[in-house]
Amino acid sequence: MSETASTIHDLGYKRYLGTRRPSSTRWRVITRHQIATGWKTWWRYKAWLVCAVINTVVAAMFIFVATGKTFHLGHGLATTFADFALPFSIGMFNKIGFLISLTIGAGVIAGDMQSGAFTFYFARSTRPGDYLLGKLAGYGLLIAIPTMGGPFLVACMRVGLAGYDNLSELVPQLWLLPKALAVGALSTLVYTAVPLGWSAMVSNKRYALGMWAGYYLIAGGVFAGIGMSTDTPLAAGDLAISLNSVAGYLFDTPIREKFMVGVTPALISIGVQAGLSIALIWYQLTTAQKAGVGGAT
Amino acid sequence: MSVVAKGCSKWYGHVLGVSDIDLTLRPGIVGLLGPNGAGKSTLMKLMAGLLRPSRGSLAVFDKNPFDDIAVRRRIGYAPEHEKTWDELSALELVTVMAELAGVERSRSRRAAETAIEEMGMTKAMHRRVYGFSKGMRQRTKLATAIAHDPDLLLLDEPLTGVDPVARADIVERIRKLGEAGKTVVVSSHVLYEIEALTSEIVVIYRGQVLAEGNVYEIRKLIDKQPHRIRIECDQPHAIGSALASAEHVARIGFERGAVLIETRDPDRCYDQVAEAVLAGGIAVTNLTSPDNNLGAVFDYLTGGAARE
Amino acid sequence: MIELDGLEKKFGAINALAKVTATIDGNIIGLLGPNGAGKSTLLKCLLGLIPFSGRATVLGLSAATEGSAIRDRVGYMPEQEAFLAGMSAVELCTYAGELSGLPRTEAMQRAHAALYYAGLEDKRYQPIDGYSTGMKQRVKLAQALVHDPELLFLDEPTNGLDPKSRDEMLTLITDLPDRRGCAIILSTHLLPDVERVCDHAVIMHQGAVRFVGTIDELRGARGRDTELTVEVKADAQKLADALTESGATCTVVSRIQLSVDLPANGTSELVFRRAKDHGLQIRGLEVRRESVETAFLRVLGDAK
Repeated sequence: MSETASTIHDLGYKRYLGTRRPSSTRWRVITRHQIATGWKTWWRYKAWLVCAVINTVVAAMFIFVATGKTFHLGHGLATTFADFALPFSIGMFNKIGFLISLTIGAGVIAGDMQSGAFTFYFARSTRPGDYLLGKLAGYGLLIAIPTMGGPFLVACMRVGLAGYDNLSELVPQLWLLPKALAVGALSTLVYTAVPLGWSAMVSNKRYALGMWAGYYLIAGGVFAGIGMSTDTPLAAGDLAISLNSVAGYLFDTPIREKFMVGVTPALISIGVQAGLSIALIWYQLTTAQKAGVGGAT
Repeated sequence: MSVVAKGCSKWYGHVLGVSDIDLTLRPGIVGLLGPNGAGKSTLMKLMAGLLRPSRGSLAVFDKNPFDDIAVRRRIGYAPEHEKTWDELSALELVTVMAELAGVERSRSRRAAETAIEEMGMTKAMHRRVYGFSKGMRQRTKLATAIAHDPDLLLLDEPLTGVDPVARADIVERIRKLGEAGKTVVVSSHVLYEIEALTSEIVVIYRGQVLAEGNVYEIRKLIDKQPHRIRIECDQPHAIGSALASAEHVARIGFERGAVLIETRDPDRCYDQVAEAVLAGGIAVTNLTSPDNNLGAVFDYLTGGAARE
Repeated sequence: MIELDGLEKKFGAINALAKVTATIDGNIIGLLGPNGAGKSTLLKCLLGLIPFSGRATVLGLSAATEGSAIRDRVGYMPEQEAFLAGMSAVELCTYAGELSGLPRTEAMQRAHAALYYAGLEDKRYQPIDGYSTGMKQRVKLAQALVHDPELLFLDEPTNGLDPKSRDEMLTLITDLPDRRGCAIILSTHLLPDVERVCDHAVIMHQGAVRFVGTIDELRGARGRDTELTVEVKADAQKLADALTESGATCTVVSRIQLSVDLPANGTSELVFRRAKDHGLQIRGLEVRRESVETAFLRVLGDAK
């Protein structure tokens, strides 16, 4: 016979006496949540990740299989497959970045506005800064994996196995790595900040998607057209052209002058658009913080 | 008869709206009650002529409201939602809706102004609806429903989100409409709103009419639930023992300073209680029937008695 | 609990809050007032979301400087929808807890506890998008509770609920101070709910606080025992006449109801005796007491 007494346990409520995580780390909760949400379904992110992998494989084939063969770019420009692999794959990674911005990016903030999530966030101790940082970090990470990770991987392949005879030949090749990261960082900035900017300004997921896509494709095309016909750097307004120009400059890819702009206008264009987007998001958040709580009365 | 429904059913594909409704409505105010999804909105839309019955018939003033435009002009419907043309002013909105309801152009503005004044919105009638509070929107909606002087008024949750000051006012105006001989059907979840307006109710449950008529009469009909009578006094046990031998008493319970009697014959019980009070010189401070109200009736109908 | 001292907030020329000074305390406090009275502005100030002049402290913390800390200890149940798309109730409440600073496992445990309390035990793993109105209201309550707040703001918690769900929600609210150790401020237009649930009330009108105190203070303590409302089976006039002969003052309200002011030394026995003498049946007898609604309208009327 057991000596211990029988008991009924009090399952009643216990107050929380532990510590609370400091305010400054709250953004990480939002980042984790954003990544988890992005990862949820197949078509939102994973599908594009697979595309990025395929893209890397194709680049690998350019480098290892077609290596020395000549790639004709048309109009009398040519380069080797191996050399072309990096700028080509970067172009593809950027496209993937754009697609992710369509399936996730444009809806991030707009979706929150639609479902009333701002009330949810700001009635708690979440500050606009936490939200902004959290979303940029979380969504930015999702974008960075193909747009930065991809080029870096291809650059590694190009450096590592494209063949070299001695150290003095290797070192200049090594420069490809930070260059790839730099281009990747710019792409990440573009495909993170600007779609989030549209998402914050248009409070409906579908319209935000349309506005971002329209802006990127059509407004971009308008900029490009005007720039090309008037022979001014205005084409830098098209984000894709700016990114390609920077990549082309860094990797010495022979591209027709017509489809490139100088690096300075490109960087300025990217900087302005990204900066403006973040400013707009910030403005929208601070307004929502005041208005979102308290209801209509 | 304002509204007569015979065997009226409405299905949306597989989804049940209402099923086999037999109902007669007369002039005056009637409350339409039921749990969410029971079919109240469907019934209202059938009466408003926005839906056609899948089976059976529903006649308003002896005509089919779905087809007959003339009878539709005698119906005013204020739905639950408030989506409307925000950029118009209240007066413009009510005028347009009045014209849509058949009021001639020449008279529509005046009719709108009258309706707006009826609803106490005259001060704000030139302002755009966009900036209106919930209470003002509700009043505008009601003005729209009465502008063309309909004989049948269908009001779906007319008092949601309305502050207590405006509520008292709107309740009064609806009451006046009922007294003026209109047929007013008010649907609401807030039972004390209905209580303030009328004792005639129709209870919809699972798409069918569960009960109709006067609340207190319906209460009497609910046999399964004995009537409860609560007496606060200085000698609760004296009253209890005086009634313990009565056959109609189902249960006697005691609280501090009060006795609770459940009886199947409230009429006899009240008489016997009065006798006991006088015989024993008992000082009664409170005598109530806690379940003789709409809330309890509704509860009994949809909670217990309906589960057959 | 809440102290206001000369709290003032202007939006341009409009005085949303006009130098409010008050101390608000209690278990369940009703926040009442017509639309535009300043209730939501007050709430925003107390949560530290908008700047104001004057002083306001909530739970001992200054609303002007420690807004974040206040929001960590206060739960808010909004009137409108406040969800994130595609999440289940458990996920949402866990996220809510984490956003208020709780470590992940703690947040998860408390999310489940809060959902049990709110009565969503069965459905808590399903996405909120598919919930009925009643269930959504319960989730809103749960997410306000998950971070163990000391004070809860509930904004129209019974909105859109059918009578049974309304009843259940009000019971949940009534039980909260005992079971969760938090005080509640209930903002609603439904005064009978206030009558049922609240012990204190704050009435606002045009940016000023017109009344702070207990519900009993609001409607006057239980009236004198000689002022009665009597209900008879039929023929209230006959009883009124009989009682008037005996020295009472009566007003007939309807065919079956009358107001009776007993004479000095009169008791309710007089009513029963007169009724019996004239063959009338008493069906109700109550000491007259102002309802919260009447008291509310009176306070607003006085203020004008």
